[in-house]
Parts: sequence; structure tokens; C-alpha cells
Amino acid sequence: MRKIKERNRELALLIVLATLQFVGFISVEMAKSGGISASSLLYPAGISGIFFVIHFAIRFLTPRADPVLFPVAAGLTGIGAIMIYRLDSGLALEQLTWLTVACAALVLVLLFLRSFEVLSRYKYTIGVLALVLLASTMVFGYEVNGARLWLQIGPMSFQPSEIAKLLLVVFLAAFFAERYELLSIATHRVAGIPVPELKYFIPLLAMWGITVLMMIYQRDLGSSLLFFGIFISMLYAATSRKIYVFVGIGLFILGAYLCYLGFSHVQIRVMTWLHPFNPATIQSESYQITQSLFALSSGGLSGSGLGLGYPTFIPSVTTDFIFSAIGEELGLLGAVSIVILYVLFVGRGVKVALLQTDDFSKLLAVGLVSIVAIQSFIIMGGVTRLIPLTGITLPFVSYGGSSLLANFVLLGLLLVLSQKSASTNVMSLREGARH
Amino acid sequence: MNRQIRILLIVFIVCLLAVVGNLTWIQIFGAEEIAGNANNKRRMVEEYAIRRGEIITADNKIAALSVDTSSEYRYQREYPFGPLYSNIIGYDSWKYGRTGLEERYNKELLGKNTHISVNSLKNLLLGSVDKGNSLVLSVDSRVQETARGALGGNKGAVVALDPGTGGILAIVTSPAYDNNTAVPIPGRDTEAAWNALQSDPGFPLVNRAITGLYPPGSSFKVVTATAALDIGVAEANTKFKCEGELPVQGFLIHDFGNKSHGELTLIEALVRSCNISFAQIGLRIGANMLVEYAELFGFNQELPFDLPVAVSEIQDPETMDLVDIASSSIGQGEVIATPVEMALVASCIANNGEIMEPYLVEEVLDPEGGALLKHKPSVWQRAATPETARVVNEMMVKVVERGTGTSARISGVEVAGKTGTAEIGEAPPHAWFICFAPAEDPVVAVAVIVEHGGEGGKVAAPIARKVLEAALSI
Repeated sequence: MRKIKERNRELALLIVLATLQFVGFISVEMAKSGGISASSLLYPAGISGIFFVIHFAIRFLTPRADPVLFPVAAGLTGIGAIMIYRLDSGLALEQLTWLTVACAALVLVLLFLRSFEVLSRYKYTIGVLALVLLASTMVFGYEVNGARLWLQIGPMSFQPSEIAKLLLVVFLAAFFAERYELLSIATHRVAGIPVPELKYFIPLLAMWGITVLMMIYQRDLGSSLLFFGIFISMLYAATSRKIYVFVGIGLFILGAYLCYLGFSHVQIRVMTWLHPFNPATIQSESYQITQSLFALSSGGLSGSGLGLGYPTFIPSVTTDFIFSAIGEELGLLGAVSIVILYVLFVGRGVKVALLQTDDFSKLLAVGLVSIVAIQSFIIMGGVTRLIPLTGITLPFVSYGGSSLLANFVLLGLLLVLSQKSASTNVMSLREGARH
Repeated sequence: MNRQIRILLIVFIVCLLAVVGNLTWIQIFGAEEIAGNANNKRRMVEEYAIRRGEIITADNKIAALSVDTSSEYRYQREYPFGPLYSNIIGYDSWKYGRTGLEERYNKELLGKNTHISVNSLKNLLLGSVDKGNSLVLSVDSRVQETARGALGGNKGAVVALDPGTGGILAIVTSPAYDNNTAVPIPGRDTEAAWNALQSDPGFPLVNRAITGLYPPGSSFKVVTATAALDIGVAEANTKFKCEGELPVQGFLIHDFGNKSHGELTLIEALVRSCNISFAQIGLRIGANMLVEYAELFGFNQELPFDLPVAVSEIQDPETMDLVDIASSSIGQGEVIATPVEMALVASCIANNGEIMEPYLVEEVLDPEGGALLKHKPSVWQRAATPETARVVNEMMVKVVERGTGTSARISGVEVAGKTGTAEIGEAPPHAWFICFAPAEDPVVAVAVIVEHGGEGGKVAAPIARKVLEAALSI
């Protein structure tokens, strides 16, 4: 009974989303060419179709999974697709193709990783793979906008850090689940604060080293901040030692400061954050951030309307700056809606984590949720000048294959986790009733 | 572990709420300031989506129009006559901003009472193009072209206006620049030419007619004579004695070429432009009254005009000694004036002692050609009684009839004028001529200056004559 109710809630939400998809694409088309074209109907039909297929896959494979996570992700992806079509209709078909691939990957996760505990057995393999992926860009990668993030495999460009972040979360979840008791033991006291033995800081230092290397060699400030954020979140959740958090943040600030002193690309980020409207740099270094701020400020409360603003003035608007385009055309109301969707996703994800009964699952869920929370904060905070701007995609919304693929795999894992805890809870309820 | 996870959730939510707070600032409270930054192209793109109105001369010549460039800034300006009107029209450029009438009447040219973003929305929905209002100038292309031709390659300026209305008929500065240079459009890169203009030693971007300040020399004697007659310290036939030089406080005031005129009346003093007589008249008038009359003529005052005009100046009477008074009354010393101001001095005598407010824009027309706004002439200054003006008018007629201004004579028309040869140290003097015609019922007043041109009567008066003729024939 209960499982039907949950899936029906999901279906209802998807029907609402499908309607919004059509409204969105039609209004973009109206603004662009003054009429409704086949593409303005085929795209939303395609996207909604894929989502309904996924819904039925979930219904059969993980019927007790959380009913809100998928519609929220679908909503973000749908808004992203509308904006991508509006900004560069040539990219829309590619995004639809990638969405199909990403959803196929999601179904594969639901099919084959239902007993995801196997992952913890291969934790070191996975950890090494994550490192190899990250290192690969340092060796073979090519630069886009000053950051070496991309690998070319045949005709395809691929951003390994998107996959690496998932592998890292799996590895850390397994590693901490095994070692967290050791890491939590505080044998010393420094100024009255209990402090673990020095050797237990080794994982922290290792991760810090990787992050700093990423900052230097890949020039990827966004990803290095994300990786370190994920690490600290999971370490804190596992050990409950605030000392790790403080030492970690301290180390990160130190690393960032050293990079600031040593590397001009870091200095530029800080300078354009503090003084974006400096006339000397407004046409060069701080062009991106000011174009983003102009777009947002022109949008006002309700926005210019889809297709009626000028978001194409912003560089990289389909990827890193898609949030600014939403802010311009859908206004504060639209932009805040996006933030609310992330809050919902994170909230539901945390609920999934809380309901897990074993440490590995709990930490895995926390890690996955941290990815979405931290990544969306880094880029939304960046394009609104809350924090220094660092290039990274907006999860589910931005254009990009690797990003979409990684995020739907992430979603799949969360669905599997929520399915497992719901089943365990139902079983334990039944057992409880039997006694 | 669950407690830590809940704390993490709170941290995440606080971070995301901070984004919402910041967004609210950017999109609502700080939006006006951020979006108003000059580097925000949005407003410009929307403005250039509007087809600006045309600028048309009094005789229906299109001096500025907008053409579709099919680029990001869609409608761009084209100035068919380039340098001929650049000093008044200025330019409307996405790259270099706006100046002149393009700036002053920007709102009208973009279309009055239309909100830009409403327009752009309407355009997108209806596919229509907005057209702004047009300006009709008081400037007549025939007078303007004649004035430019007459000035030729000289540095200087010409201003001609209708003394009865204040309508400017011609306003020329030389050298002039081509305002099309300010408007780079696809396929026309003007950057090099624009940069060359900025450093041109002839200062073509300076509108000498309204911002050039020169000592007016003897042309200022019209003001001095008016003051003397109006307050009664002299009459037309009052006699003065000229011995070629006049010692004032140990300083020698001398005549141009140190000519000794002997005994002569006020009329003759003006006809022959006798400095010695006018210095004596100035001393009789006194510093306070001399400055008061100069101010009535428009000195030391912001001149109301469609374009910003430099203030013509005369020294503060409190600081004037006798030498200052004597030299001020012959338009030397610290007296400086713009060409437009000197044209107004002539127009004051022509218009019975009243200066009309000068203007350039006669009408604003809506896109359908209906008049939205029509200029109503108004009096700016009452500088002299009609009686005094009539006497000075007659004296100025004699200047052209048989005095220093004979080169301005036109057969069959009585011309009134006054020459000026303003000395400036060792350099050749500035040549001035101010005049109006026909003397009994003036329809045009003119001021001409040729920088370092030499004698006013020889250099400036012939130019003024051609401008008068052109204005009289329209």
C-alpha cells in the first residue's frame, strides 16, 4: 500500500513538471520566433518522456525509494534544459542525448548496485581510480578558460573530476566507516581540547595535499574547494571531532593563501571578487563576474521573461553561469526557486542518511548530499559574488555530459540507499510486530 | 553520527540561505546601482533598438538620421553633412557616448513618454520598430553653408541669428570635425581617425562659437556706448579729444596704429573706433555702471541655450583700477567673450534693446510629423531703452557707411556693424565683426571672429557681409 502511495506522489510531481516543461519551451519559442515550432514541442516531450520512463524504472526496481529526490532533480534538469535551449538551441539536442545517457546510467545503478555494499570491498581500487582520474588531467588534460579539467577521448570531451568526486565519496565512506573509531579517539589534550594522535591527521594532510596540487596544476579552484569540502564534511560526520574541521579549514585557508601569494590566477580571482567594478579590469579580468551581476540586477524581482533578456552577454553562460541567466530571465523568484530545490534535495538526502542503519551507507549518503550542497553553493555563491568565483557546474542544471552523468549516478545511489533503509525499516517493523 | 549529520544540514542550509540573501540584494535593493553601470550593455542595446528621430534643418535638409546596421546595436547614426553641423548636433555613439543636441534632446529623439523595456517587449512580440521624435532646427543650411564657406580655412567662428526671435540661423566653428568618426559601424573602423581627432593641434572638437573665449576688442564699444547713452554721461554729439594716446595712472592707452583723431563726437569715436575717446567714456561711466551694463548684455551670466555656453566675463568692479576701467571699456583688459555672446550684443541693438533667448531647436515632431513642441520666443535680457538702442543702431550704420566697417556694405541694404581688433600680446590680433541688417528692421544679426586674423574691418567684415547676404536672401 505504502509503496504505491509514494510512487504516485512522485508521478504527480512529474506530471506537474512535464506541464512546466511545455510552458517553458513554448514561451522560449514564442520569444525567439513568435510562434510554436516542432522543436518547442519535441524537446519537452522528449525530456518528460525520459523522466516518465525513469519513474517506471524506479517503480519496479526501487519502489520504496524517496519520492521527492527524483522529481527535484528532474525539475532542476528540466529548467536547465529550457535555459540551454534558450541560450544556444544548438546545444539542446546534445543535452537531451546526454540526459538519455545519464538516465540509462541511473537505471544501471538501480539494477546492479542495489547491494551497493560491494563497493566498500573495492574501496582502495576505487580510491586509486579517483586519484588516477584526477592526475590524468594534470598529464593529458587540455585547458578551457584557464583550467585543465578536460580529457579528450576519441570525439568526446570528458571532465574526469565529475566522476572522481563520486569515487572519492565512495572511498571515503568505506574508509571512514572502517576507521572512524580510531580517528575519533582523542588521547592528547592541547589547551584543554581533546586532540587525536598526530598520525590520525595523516588522511587530512593527504587530502589537503591533493587539493593544493589541484589548485596549482589544474588551476581548478572550484573542484579543489569542492573536494576538500566533501572530505571535511564526511570526516566531521564520521568522527564528530570538531578539531578536524578547524584544522582542515585552517589548512585550506593556509593553502589558498600560499597559492594566492604564488599564483596570479588565484590573485585575479580574489581581486575581481573584491573590486569587480574596477574600471581597469571590468573589460578584462572581472568581465565575467560583472556580466553576471549585470544580468542578475537587470532581472529584478520577476525577470525579463524567458527569451527577453540578454543573458548571452555572459561568457560560459550555459555551464558555470547558467544560474545568472535564470536570475535575469526568471528574476529573483526564479533564482530563489532553484535554491529552494537544492534545499529540498539536500534535506531529503540528509533524511536518507539519517535513516541508514550502517556506517558505510550513512557516510555514503552524507558524502553524496555534500557534493550537491557544496557544489551548488560554490557556483551560486560565486556568480553572485558571495564568495570568490570559481568555475564549476551547477548540479543537474548546467550544460555538460560528464556533469549530468555524474549527478544522475549520484541520484541513483541515493535512491538505492533510501530504498534499502525503507525496506530495512519495514522489515524491522514487521519483526517488531511479530515479537 | 546522526547529530553531526543534522549539524551539517544546518550548515548547508545556512550557506544556501546566504545565497538567497545576497540575491535579494543584487536583484532588488542594489539592482538600480549595479544595472546602471556604464559597462552594462543591456540599456544600450535596448536604446539602439529604437530608431532615433531625425535632425532636420529649417530648410528641410536631413542632418542626422538612423540607419539599420543589423548588428548588436541595431540603429546607428549617420550624419550626411558631417563637419557642417557637428558642433551643434554632436554625436550619438555606442562607443564614445553622446554630445551636443544628441545628448540634450536624447529623450525626445528616442521617443517621448516611452519606457524602454516596455518598448523592447512590445517589439519582440509584435516585431515592430519604435521610431523616436525628430528635431527641426532654426539653423538654415544655406546660411550655415555660406558661413562655413566664408570662414574658409581660418580658425574662428560665425554666429548668425534672428534678433527678433533668438533663433540661430548659422553657427559655425573652424576647424570642425566629422561626427561620423564617432560612430564605428560594422565595416567602418574609425578608431584611428577618432584618436587623431583627440590630439589634433587645431582642436576641432572645441566648439569655438559657444565655448571659445576671446577678448572682444573694439566690438565691445557697442556695450560702452549703450551704457554711456543710457545713463546720460554722454550723448551722440558729445565731443572727446584724442591725441593718439592717453595717460591713465602712468599707463598709456593708445589707439590702433597710434592714430591721433583730434576732437571728435561719440558718433565719430565709434565710426573710427577711437580708443582714447572710449577710454574717457569708460572712465566717466565708472566701474560699477560699466560692469552692470555688460551684465545686462549677458556678461558674467549663464547663457540659456540648447548647448552649454562658456560664460563671457568682465572683471569684478571692486577690483578695477582706472587702467582696468579704461581698457575694459575698449574690450581689452580682462574682458573675454564668446562669439555667440557678441552676436547677442548685436542682436540687442537690432531688437530695440532686448536680447531674445537664443535657441537651436524650433520644433519637436512625432514620428507621424505632428508637432509635439514648438519653441516660443522669450526675452532674456532688457539691456537698453529702445531710444538708446535706436541711437546706437544709427551710429553702427555709420560705421559700415563710412567707418572701419565699410567692407560689410551691401548695396540696397542698410547694414549696421562694429569692428573689433583684439590685441593679445605679440601675436597677430583677433579680427572681430558684429553686425545686423537691414538696420531699420533687422532680420539677422551676425558675429564673426577670425583667430589672429588681423584687422576686424579687413578680415571679419567681408565674411559677415556674405553671411548677411545669405540670411537676407532666404
